[in-house]
Amino acid sequence: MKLLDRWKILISGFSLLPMAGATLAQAGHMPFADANWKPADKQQPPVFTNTLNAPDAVNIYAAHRSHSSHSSHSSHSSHYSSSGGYSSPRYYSPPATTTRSYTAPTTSSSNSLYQSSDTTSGTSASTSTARATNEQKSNLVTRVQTALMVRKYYQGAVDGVMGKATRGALMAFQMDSALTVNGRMDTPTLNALGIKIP
Amino acid sequence: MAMLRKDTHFVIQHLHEPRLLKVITLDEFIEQGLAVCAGSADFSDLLLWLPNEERLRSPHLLSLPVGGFLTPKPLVGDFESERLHLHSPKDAEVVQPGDVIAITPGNTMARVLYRRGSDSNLLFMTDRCNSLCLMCSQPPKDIDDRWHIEENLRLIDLMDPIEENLGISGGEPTLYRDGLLEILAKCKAVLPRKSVHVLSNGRLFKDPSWIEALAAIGHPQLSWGIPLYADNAEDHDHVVQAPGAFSETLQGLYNLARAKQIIEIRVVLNRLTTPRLPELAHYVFRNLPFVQHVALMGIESTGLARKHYEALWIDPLDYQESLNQATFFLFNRGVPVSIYNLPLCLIPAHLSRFARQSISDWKNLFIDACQQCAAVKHCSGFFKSHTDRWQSRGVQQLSPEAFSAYARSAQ
Repeated sequence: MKLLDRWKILISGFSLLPMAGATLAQAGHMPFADANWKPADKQQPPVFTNTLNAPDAVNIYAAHRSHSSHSSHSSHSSHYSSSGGYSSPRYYSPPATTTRSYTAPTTSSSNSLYQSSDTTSGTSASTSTARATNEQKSNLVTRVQTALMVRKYYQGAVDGVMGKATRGALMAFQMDSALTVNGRMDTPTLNALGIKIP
Repeated sequence: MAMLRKDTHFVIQHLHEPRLLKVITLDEFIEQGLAVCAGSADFSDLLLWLPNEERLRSPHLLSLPVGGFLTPKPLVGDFESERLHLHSPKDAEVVQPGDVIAITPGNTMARVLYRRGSDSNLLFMTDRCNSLCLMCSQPPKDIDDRWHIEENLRLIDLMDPIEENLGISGGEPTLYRDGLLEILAKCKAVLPRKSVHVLSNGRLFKDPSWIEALAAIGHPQLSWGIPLYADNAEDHDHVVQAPGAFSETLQGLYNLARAKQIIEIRVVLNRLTTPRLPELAHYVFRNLPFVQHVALMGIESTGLARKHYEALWIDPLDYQESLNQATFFLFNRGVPVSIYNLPLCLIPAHLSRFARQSISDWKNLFIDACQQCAAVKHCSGFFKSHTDRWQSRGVQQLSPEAFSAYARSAQ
């Protein structure tokens, strides 16, 4: 029973009645257990301090709705391709066949797990800032062309290239919308086209 | 609240390789572009939702550099393009804008891997399992299906970044340890607003190297649902059909706790687990005080459960007393406890405050007896696999008066 000796479960002064009253008072909510116990050492069994009914405990099933503080991390998402170690495969490997595109790691470093040759697109980690910017700009032009097409200002190919036809359509739209006619994708023009820039 | 299945057939044209595609409307494409996807994506990952009218009004839209087009109704007029095109869905409700679908050449089926706004989305890890639970709803297969890892990593990129619950399940997800850790890390990085709940039998966590690995990921909204079926090894090992499993799961639970993980204990209620349910509640309270939630769950009558009907079936009316004792034992001691998958008519009114609408939307239905029931909007209902053989003699419609007793007790 050496194991038990090392446990320090501090459930003391436990009394049922006051606690039942307290939990019943929280109408409709679940009472909360505590996540605050501290392991003394990673290899040791945990030591539990005040495991029950701590006032500051968090309900994992309700609390995520109010955890909007995590939205501060959302900037990660749009830039993931340039910061992460993933290879962002362009091809999705087929479930029908038993192609084993996942290869078990031989070392403990797990960052290069999915950079198998057939899925590496070469656009993620190695992409220079300039190229990313070009790609982003081309994507934006594509959206502008689409918006102009839906509004009947543009009939050409949606190719992401700001050519004469696109610029002409953009200027016509700016003119009709009482915007500065400069043929540029400035913020007022994008707003008028309903295009959000991150 | 009708059950919405996760796959349907389309006419699929010009598909040359298996694809994962994000369905997106024209307005979303213009307004948000690739920001509709949480992670890295390019236009070829998008499937443009293009109703007939919009296409006929602006035929040049077919030059959009997206991965393909989806006509959500039967095709009207010409579709002059050699590009990937899905049209004429068998069930037009199944695939909607925002969803991520998987399609394969030679197959008319489109599978919805992510459904926008649903809290039942799942990263399915594997069909393999190291246990063989008598009531397994999804019997394991001994295959190498590591391709799920790749698919899930890609799926994460294409999901909406919005706040939702996300499940990870199998099979036993921990069998692909590195893949699972990679996926958890990616969830944290790409989907920081989604809470993640992993279903695992916890046995492999007996290896203490998981402690550091999980602590290193440090996902702030990650929880683990670990089943425990008895307060003793013999009964538990019998239910999961794996000698030594009880001991491994307990060691695993302590290691998860050492890694400061959020832990839920799941108990499937059946003929084998209900007789000692109060003892199990006691055991959890005494030995696993770090557990943050206990879910007492009605059985899903599918998979192996059907094969083991005789061993497993017990009418929920006949375990009300042990359910009652176990629930209040935990509740009175401050352990959050819920009852899953049991219709309200099978739960005494005073336990209804613990009942949750727990069945995933895509397999949740209500039977004929429910149609006039006053509680139907608050009830878990049934699994789609429900059959008469698995139906309690207590299933009945609650009158408004009867339901008001439930509502009062839930106050």
